[in-house]
Amino acid sequence: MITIKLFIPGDFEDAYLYMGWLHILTRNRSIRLYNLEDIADNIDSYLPESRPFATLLFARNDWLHSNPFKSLVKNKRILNYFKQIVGKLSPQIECNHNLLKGLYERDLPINTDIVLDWRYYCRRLFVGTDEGLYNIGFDWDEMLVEPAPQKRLEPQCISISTGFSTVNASCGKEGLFTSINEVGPISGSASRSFTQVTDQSLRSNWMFYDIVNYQSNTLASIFKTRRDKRDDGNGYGGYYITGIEDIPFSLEFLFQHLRDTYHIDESSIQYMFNSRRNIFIHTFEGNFFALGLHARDPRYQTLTFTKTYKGKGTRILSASPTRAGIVFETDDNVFLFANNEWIRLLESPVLTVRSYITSKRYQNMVTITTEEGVFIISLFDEKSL
Amino acid sequence: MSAAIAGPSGLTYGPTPNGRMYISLFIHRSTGARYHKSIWAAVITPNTEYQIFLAADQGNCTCNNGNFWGVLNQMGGVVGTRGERLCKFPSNSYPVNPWHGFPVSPMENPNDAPPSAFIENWIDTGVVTRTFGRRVQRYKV
Repeated sequence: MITIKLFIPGDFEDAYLYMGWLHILTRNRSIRLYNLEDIADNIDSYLPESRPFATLLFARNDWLHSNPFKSLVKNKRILNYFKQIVGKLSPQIECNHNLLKGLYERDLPINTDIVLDWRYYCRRLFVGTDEGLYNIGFDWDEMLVEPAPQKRLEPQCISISTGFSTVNASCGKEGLFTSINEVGPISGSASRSFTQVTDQSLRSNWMFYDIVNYQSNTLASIFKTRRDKRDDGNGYGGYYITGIEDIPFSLEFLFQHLRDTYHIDESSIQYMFNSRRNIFIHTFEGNFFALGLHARDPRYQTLTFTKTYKGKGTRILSASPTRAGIVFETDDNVFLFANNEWIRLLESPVLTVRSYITSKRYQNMVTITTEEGVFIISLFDEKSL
Repeated sequence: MSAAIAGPSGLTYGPTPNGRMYISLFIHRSTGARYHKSIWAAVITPNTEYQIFLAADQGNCTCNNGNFWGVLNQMGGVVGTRGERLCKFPSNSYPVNPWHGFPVSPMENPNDAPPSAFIENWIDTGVVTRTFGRRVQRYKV
């Protein structure tokens, strides 16, 4: 696995890749915007012997995983040249002032010191704070933050998840709130307002088209949704959620499976998370279970597989999926788990880890923010060539 | 620090400069009942436990619910057997009773989390690092 890091020093809180830009939330509550293609082009100019790899790794990482690129490297000479150039790249490139020209800096128009989460969705910015959830418009032509944020929720908003025209806001003891119809034109009597789904939520994620709510990091339930397919001829396609069931499914049957098959007690569970089709459970004893759920089982009772892995013997604080593997934040490190191997990405406690698995361009990239600065990490599995 | 006085429930310390008595309860030690109780890590001796409470008492580290909160150090060192890094000293309605505390993990039990503004003050005054403080605020501790 090739991992190349770009490091931008500074006093930052968080970082986000979106629409060709690196968005950095500074400690002064401004958003600093760097164009990724400009950064990559500057690096390529600075390191001409390795051009165009900065562009391939950081600005257009999707090209590395495209069919045209894979066809190209079937030519052994080209493949060897590629490996030679990548081998010469430093594993970490520090961005100095010369490489970071052409930035924008915009104030975040929210009067709060504590940003707990932020997420771009359909060209709008959602910001979770200790004083509620805000929705901020963005002028993407002028790269301007619109000055009038809309407060969407009053309770403290710890984390946000998005998808299928829906925004889910986890507000801790206040619960999980969801707003459907967040994308495209509002039709009929639908309005963009949040409704409470359940009364405790630290985070949420999608499983198929349903919402997995985590009341704690070791307790979760699934809320099934109703959906429809949009095709209004105005560019808004795909499925969208039309409603959410009141009564969730508990995942008790998974715990029963762990008890019966592996003699794992629920009190051993240290962290749970899910991907689109799988539930992952990490235990204090350092074991890792991946449990595949059947797409067509409406009650999520059918396991398609169970795999076990050896963990790192340390607490998991967050899990961020990429196409290359899952990035885990622990108390003192950040690891990539890929091909049954643990690869250390950073040996440091970190402020945030973000991945972009639903993004076409950034699905093999990670941004990590520490008190020293921001790391943009490009992941590439050379065995895939 | 004056010597602790052993009793049937634990070791009693104090009074603190603010007049509070403290008891290190056996039920939160490996020698006590484990069921539903968090357990202090072996490195957190009863004396160390009291020192953490003393620092919270002297620093007036109390939230608007009347709970005191403490940490081992700025980086949030481990205080509990399940990797807990935060100490909770729950609100004591009867001053004649000694205070007590235990390790907590907001990511395991979201009810054991101090308010965000309280943690922000900890960050601003250097009680904890910004990294650890943000983790507490985001229930990643």
